Parts: sequence; structure tokens; C-alpha cells
Amino acid sequence: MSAPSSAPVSSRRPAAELRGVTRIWPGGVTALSEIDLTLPAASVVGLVGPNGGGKSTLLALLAGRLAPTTGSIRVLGHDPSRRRDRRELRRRIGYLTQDIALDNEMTGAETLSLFAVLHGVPQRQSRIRCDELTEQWGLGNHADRQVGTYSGGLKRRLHLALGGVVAFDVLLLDEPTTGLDAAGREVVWRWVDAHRGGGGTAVISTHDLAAAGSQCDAVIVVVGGRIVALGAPAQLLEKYGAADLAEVYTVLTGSPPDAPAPPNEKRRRR
Amino acid sequence: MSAQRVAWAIALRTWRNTFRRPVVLAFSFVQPLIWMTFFGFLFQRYPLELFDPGISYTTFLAPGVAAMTVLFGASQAGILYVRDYQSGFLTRMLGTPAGAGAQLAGKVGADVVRLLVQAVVVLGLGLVVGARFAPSAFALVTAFVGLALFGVAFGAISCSVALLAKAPESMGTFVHIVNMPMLFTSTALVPARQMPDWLQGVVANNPLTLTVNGLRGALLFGTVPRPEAVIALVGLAGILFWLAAALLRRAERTAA
Repeated sequence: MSAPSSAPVSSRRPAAELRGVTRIWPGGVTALSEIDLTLPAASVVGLVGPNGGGKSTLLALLAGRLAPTTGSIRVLGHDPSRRRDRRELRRRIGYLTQDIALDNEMTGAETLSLFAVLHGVPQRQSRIRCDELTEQWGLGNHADRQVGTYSGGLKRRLHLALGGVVAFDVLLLDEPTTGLDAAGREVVWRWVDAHRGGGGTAVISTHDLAAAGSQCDAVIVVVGGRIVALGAPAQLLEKYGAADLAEVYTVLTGSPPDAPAPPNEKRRRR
Repeated sequence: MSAQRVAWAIALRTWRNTFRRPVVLAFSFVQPLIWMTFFGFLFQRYPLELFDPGISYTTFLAPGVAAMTVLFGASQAGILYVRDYQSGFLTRMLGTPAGAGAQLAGKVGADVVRLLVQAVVVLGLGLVVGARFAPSAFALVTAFVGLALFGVAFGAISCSVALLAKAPESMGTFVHIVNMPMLFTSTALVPARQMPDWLQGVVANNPLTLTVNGLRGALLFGTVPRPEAVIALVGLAGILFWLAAALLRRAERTAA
């Protein structure tokens, strides 16, 4: 498969390239098979598809958390499964897992400042950055409370806020909008948009097809460990004669997604 | 990227975690107190042929229980890693540019500092229940360095076990499998000459014996610990720390 042609034309090298990537779980289940993919720099790429289709595996491979069974992966010119390359990539890739990974006994503020140190943010900037993130993610009143007392949505916000401690070149976001209210989802998409504006690339798996359709430069539909469609949202609509991405999804996966309200529209009750 | 800054931030986090569980912290004080008083009562009437007739069993026992406190505390160091592994927080910390060695140093360092404070408190309790010491400053500092190295060694083993097993149940098993034989084949509770001949080789080379003998000599007589013993503890702590750091670095990948 080729690069999404309508993605912003960039003279820079691609953010990521996958060639013949297959990932087989111990025990023989194939999570991804024969993935060929080029992700252009300064773009937002949406990963959509049913549960268990391979979206998370694809992100974990890009993040270097998993090694491919066969095939080669390059992210920012580096091989995420090589130890030496990982040292460089930990600096440049922000990977936010679908599972919220926080320590319930730390406060929000403590968590942010710990990760500022772990990412080598200088002491003086750290305080400012943490305050900005607290503000951006609406954690102001909760920053000094232990994470264990947070609601699910607040935990998700803090989980995501940690991805902004430094300016990564590549963001890998695994279902970041899960459990967030409309305002929270909007923060996510605004963050991703600003990230792209700064020349960064973001890969986002999501079931929020309306948002993916309006925010992503390219959408990849992953079903059963294979890429079944790839292109700019408009291209996909045209190709499948669909009114929206949900319709494309239904054609490709055989079942309709349950689409939540798009983040930039007011919630409507039917 | 400053490794010291990382280690310090992790140490602060480790201490906070400890102090936010006051019951666990309290138990870690109660346990040595129970050992000291009960063993004291149990053995003080027995002719233990101690260093010289003027030394009470309580005096003999106090440094042993102080070292035991470090052993028991250090062997639980890995529990936080099991918890962090299960919450995904460990993998997340390892996914940052901060080195695994610096992160481990902060974690184990914080535990060892806390345990040394606890050891001092235990020795103070010993004084309260009747122990009498005649230390010298240099000897005592050297003995505490030995105690710290012992803590690093067992903190590192505990973290290694945690990183390999990744389950809280196996930490409990590990604590019992390692601590009890370590304790009863050492000079922490009774002098070596009370033990059978076939055990002497084990007792003499038990790291707890090396640690306790150094501490006891320094506290009771002001004798400086044997250099061989300190060197052995340096080697042991170094090797075990290195092993735990290697396992920690690896945990970023296997965790996914």
C-alpha cells in the first residue's frame, strides 16, 4: 500500500515506515500481517477498526514496546526494536497506552513533575510546563489530590497530560478519547492539531469516527490484522460512495460503529 | 539529563509511597521490637557463652535485630515494582529517557536510607530495654556503610525477583524462602559457636553474618569491621544491583 497521497506534502523524510511487518503472538495468533505503511511527517493519522483488529499492536510496534515477528520498522529513521535506537526514540516518541498507567498514591502534580524530571526537563521550565498542562487538561482543582481519588475521566486527562511534558516528534495515542467528556475530547484534538502545526506526527486509534473524519489527514482502517483501507477521509468517502466515515466503516467491517458525538458540536439529545 | 536528579525524584516518590502507608511503616517497627523483646526474654537466662560474661543477651541481640530489620525491609523493596508493573506505571517510567540504573538507584537508595533510620531506631529501642554499647565513631560509620551495602544487595535481589515474577504472591514466598534461612544461619540471634560444625562454613560466609559482626563489633567494642567483610559486601551489592538494573531495563519490553 502506498502513502496517503493527500497528506500534506513534505520534503522531510517520513515519520515512520513499515515494510512487511507481521506480529504473531506467542501461541500463534496473528495480530498483524504483512503491513506496509508510510506515515508522512507533520500529519495526523487515524487508526480505526473493530476491537482486536490490530490497532493497539500497530501502535505498540511503532513505540518499540513490541518487536515485529518479521518485517522492518523505521520511526524517525530509527529501528524501535534496536536497543541503541530506543535510547534516541524514548526522547522523541510519546506513547500513551489505552490502559491508564498512573500511580494511585501520587497526586496529579507529583506525577507531572516526576515525568518532567524523567524526560530531562530543566528544573525552572518544569514548574511552568506542569502548570500549563494542569491548566490545559482542566486538572487545576485536582492537582494536589491523590490519583486514586480521581474519576475515570480525570485519570484519563492526567494520563494524557503526561504526553505533553516535552514536545515529542511523534505521538502515538491509543484510544485517547475513551471515557472523556466532550470538553476533554476537544482538548485531545486541539492538542493533536497544535502538535501537527509544530511539525509533529500523531497516530491515533479511535472509535470516534466523526472526529477522525474531521481531524485526521489520513485514516487507516485495520480489520483482522490487515489494512483494508487507507486514505484521506474525503478520498475514502468518495471511493466507497459514503456520506461519512461511519458508513465506510460499516462497509469494510460488516457492522456499524456506535459513533459518539463529535467533540466540536454541542451535545444533542434525541 | 542528570542521573542524580532522576534518582532523587524517584527517591522522593518512594519515600512518599512509604509514608502514605503508615500502617505498613508502623508494622516494620513493631516487628523488630517484638523480636528484640521476645528473643531477649527467651534467651537471656541461657548460658550463651557470649563474648565475655559482662555482656547481656539484649546487648548482643540489638545489632542483630537492627541488621534483621534491614534484611526484612530490603527484601520487600520489590513490592512497589510489582505494583508499578501491574498498573503500567513501571513500563511508563522506563519508556522515558531516564536511565534504568538511575531509577533503580533512587528506588533502592530511598529504601536503604529509610531502613538505616529504622535500624538506628531499633538500636535506640535496644538501649531502652537494657542494651549497653561502647562504640567508636569511625567503626560505627564503617559498620553502617556495611549495613547500607547489605541493604542495597537485598533490595536489589528483591527488585530482581519482583521483575521476574511480577506477582505479589511470589514476593511473600521469596521473603520467607530467603529471610528465615538467612537469619538462622547467621550470627544475628546467636553466636556462631552455638551452631553445629557442619554449618560453620555457611554461617561464616553468610552476608548477614558479615554485616552483623561488623555492626556488633563497632557498637559493643568500638572495633572497626574487617576490610574483607566490607569488600565482600561491596562486591555483592555491586553485582546484585547490576543484575537488577539489567532486568529493569529489559522490563520495558517484556511488559508489553
